[in-house]
Amino acid sequence: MDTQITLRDHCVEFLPFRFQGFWEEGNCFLRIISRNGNIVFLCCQLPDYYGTSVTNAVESIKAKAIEALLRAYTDEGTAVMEIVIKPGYLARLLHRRDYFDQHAKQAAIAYICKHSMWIEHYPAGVGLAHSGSYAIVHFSENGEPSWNYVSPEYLQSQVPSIDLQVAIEKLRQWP
Amino acid sequence: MAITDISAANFVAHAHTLHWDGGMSSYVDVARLLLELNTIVKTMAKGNMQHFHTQERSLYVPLKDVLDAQLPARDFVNVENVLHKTAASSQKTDLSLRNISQLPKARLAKDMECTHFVEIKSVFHGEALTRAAIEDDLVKLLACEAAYQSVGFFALVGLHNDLQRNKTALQILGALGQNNDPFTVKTHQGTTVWLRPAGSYLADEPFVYVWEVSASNIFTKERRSGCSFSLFQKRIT
Repeated sequence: MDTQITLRDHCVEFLPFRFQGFWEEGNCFLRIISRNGNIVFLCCQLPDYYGTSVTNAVESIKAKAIEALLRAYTDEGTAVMEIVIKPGYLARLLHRRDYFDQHAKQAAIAYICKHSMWIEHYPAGVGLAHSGSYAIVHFSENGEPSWNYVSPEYLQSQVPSIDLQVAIEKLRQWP
Repeated sequence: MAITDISAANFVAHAHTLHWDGGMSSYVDVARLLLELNTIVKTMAKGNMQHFHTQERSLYVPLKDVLDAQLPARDFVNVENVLHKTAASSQKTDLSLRNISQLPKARLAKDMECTHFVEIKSVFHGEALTRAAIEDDLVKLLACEAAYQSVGFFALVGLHNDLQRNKTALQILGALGQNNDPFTVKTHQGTTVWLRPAGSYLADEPFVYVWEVSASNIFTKERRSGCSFSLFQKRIT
């Protein structure tokens, strides 16, 4: 089935971004940047927050972040991610519309997993590292995360022109 | 496009804590905890990282403490466990995680069962590391996997300059910190070992790299870098 995916350049922030924590709903800061067909998720631990950490809940946050990206619209009102499927004549005869919707969403999720980078950030004074930390989290084929802690300079060289800074004053605004 | 009942969670998520009528289980990511070797060494070095040196064995107990703190009981982790069940039964592993049913046993009990084995190699100031020493650890982890159906981890910790100096020996471990997919290495004895990069710490020195080790490419089938255990179970009357 021919599937065409369009990803528009966009940046959207959530403060707080709510996710399913271990015991109760968790909160974090999330910035999603789509640029040139690639996506960067910057997930940040909040100050004065004692719920499930962004590290422990990384899988559930990523799942919700993908859903948020699929629902996002640009300022002009067009979907950030557009999926067009072109089923053949036989497929149209055999399947209902639901089937194609599901196929489209599956294709979108696969695209996002392949073309995205997940960055986990603890600002200075929030995590165990005094000066803060940045980790690129890779997800293996079965969804298992692995953390790769890098310096801010190295990370910026990997995603030039992407804003990786989050002001602590801004994070303190979360309710 | 309508949002359908396909959930992103089906593709990327796997709960770390599960609650159900019969109790609750949790999942501790062992590979990520091994990255704490960075903090352990920094604490030992007290700021003098450039010329820091310590014996690899001195890392075992602090790392055991880190792991024990996250696992459901003290002394979950054995230091220098004797591998009675392997062919070379005189061998020891650096660290191992007991099967939870083995907690009451003596550390050197002959029937000790472990679920995870960890081998560490360190390269500090002026130290040399040979390819043969790395291969020995990898082969030992394969022997553990065969005898105990366990998960094996190989961790490398070292100073940047010293890792560079030993880069010929380290070539066996692939492009350090640059690859994420499983790959194979062939030892001098002809054994094939699968390695999956399971984490790294490169933000500051010492650098730490962790791989999951197996005789075959089983990494796509199930999650293995962690340790799952029940926190409590409902009493069945």
